Amino acid sequence: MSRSWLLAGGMLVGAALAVFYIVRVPDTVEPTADAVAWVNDRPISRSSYANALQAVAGDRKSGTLREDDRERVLQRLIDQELLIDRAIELGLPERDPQIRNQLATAMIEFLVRRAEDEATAADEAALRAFYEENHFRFERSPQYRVALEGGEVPLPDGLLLAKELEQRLGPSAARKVAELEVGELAIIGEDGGRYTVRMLERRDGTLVPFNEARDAVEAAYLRDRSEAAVREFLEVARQHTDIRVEAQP
Amino acid sequence: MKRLALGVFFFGLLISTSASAHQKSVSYSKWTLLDDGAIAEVRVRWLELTSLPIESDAADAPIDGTMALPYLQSRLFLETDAGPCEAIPSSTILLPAARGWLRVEWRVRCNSPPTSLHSELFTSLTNHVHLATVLRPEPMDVVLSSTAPTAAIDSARKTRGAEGLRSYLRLGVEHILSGWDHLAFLLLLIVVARRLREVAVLVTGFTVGHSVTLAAAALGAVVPHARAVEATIAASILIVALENVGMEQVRGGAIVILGALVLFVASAAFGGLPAFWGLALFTFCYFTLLRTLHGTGRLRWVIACIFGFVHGLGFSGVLLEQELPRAQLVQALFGFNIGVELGQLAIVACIWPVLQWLRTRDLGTAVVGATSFAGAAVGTFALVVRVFG
Repeated sequence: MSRSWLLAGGMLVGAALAVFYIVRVPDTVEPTADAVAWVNDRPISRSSYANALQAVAGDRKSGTLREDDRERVLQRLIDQELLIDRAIELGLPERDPQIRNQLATAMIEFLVRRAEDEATAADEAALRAFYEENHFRFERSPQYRVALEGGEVPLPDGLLLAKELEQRLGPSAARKVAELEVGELAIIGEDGGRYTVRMLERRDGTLVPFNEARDAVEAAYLRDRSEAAVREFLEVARQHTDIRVEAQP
Repeated sequence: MKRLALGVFFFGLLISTSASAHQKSVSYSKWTLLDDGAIAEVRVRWLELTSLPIESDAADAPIDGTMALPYLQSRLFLETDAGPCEAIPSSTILLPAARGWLRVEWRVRCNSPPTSLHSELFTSLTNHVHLATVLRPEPMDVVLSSTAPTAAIDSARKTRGAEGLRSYLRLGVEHILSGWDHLAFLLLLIVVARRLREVAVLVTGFTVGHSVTLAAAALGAVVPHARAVEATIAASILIVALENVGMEQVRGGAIVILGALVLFVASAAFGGLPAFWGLALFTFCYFTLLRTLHGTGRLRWVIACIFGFVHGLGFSGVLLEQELPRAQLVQALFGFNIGVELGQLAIVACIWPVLQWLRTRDLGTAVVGATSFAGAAVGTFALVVRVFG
């Protein structure tokens, strides 16, 4: 008798195990108190509604809503859902290049925003470590005061950043001048357009102290984390996506 | 010799049908009636389209959706009293669709309100059914087939509930009659019954089982795993076939049962169907219990009911495919289930007298042996195809 019951129990366990894998309970959208309306079982959130009302109020001179604004805004949000439904049904996200670009941009912005949110919580130590690893990004540019002899290139009488010098004299001449010590001369150009540049004063580039560069360090840190997040997403997506290139570019 | 001949006959009868999943040839459409015509949204399987004599522009190039449009628009249309409504080809949009399906939308212009919907889609396929929902704006369902290619959809009339119900009732009958796997299971269940009362108990068990899960799946309470369901249906045929000949009692039967268990375990381990771990355990305990109780058939109503659950999930596929609005589901479910029951009763009414007659000719044992042999062979074959094919 006990053997029979044991076997019946085994049947029951086996059947239950099979049922567990044969059917599943569907994912249900939890009714939420946040919804102001439902369109095809999709909620229009109270926060979207509030934002839309705020935007309408902002457009009014008085800054307040009219009597029928609430109903009108709600109906507009429902219309928007219907239009989005139809756009998805028609496959516009797959076939309309403009929507595809907007989607790609929105996705990048989403990744950037999320990475920035995470990075904003970064502590001082992380920022300092970043600063230490990236000294070259927080150095003051070298500055030069030079005098021109025999040429027609207009040069202001004051200190010039390396980049400004490069813009006025050209890259190779600027490199040559940047190597001069105070008082030394460099001859620039050939035959007809030859001129002389004398170094009058030079201030070499210096590392900006962390406390002074903190805002710049934080901005660079956030930018780096955002770029890394987008890069990482694309790398992972490429690894897990079946990509087949049919034609050679 | 007699047994062998019968075995070959039944085997041939069953093997001639597809061993792949019981996929009825079905296409779908949704018609939104407008003041001057309608918007048609049609879904058809590529598999069926490729069977048509549609020629591609370039040799060896596969046909695409646009090539199939003239066929679809000329074979599926609304009709008014003055004649067919006119499809507007420039309004055609190819819509995103599930793998293996073509989904397309176009507008039709009607000079007067449409009165009927006509389908001549895939008439070369004997069992093709077209399921249409007409939004007038209240939804109305029609089932079109080669035997009933036209259905009235008079938008002026309001009460069409009975017609929708009739459509689903017919669909239910057609579904069970064209579903070889359900028929094989039913045949194997009743073939060993000696009295009509036993048949009634078995059929009731099967009906209760499949009605519960058909309702649960169609109403969205559970989501069936289609491949696991189809494979388990095949396994149910094999199990009942083995039980019919009392395999657990005969010499060497343990090896046959062990073979079935190995197949189930292989399905779980290598076929990606973990449900078969449970089915293997169930089968082992079931046959061991039968051996302990020395009574083949004592637990048949349990088997009928339990596998009825699985067959019900299989039945639900055709309703789920139609993506019916929630308001129509109960009506569709009711009609479909009644149709399945009627089809089932018709089968029993046809088979039972034949079985009784064969018994009077002392062929009862041979019939059981032959059907079980065929059932085991086809069940195994279908299981392998559905799991590993």
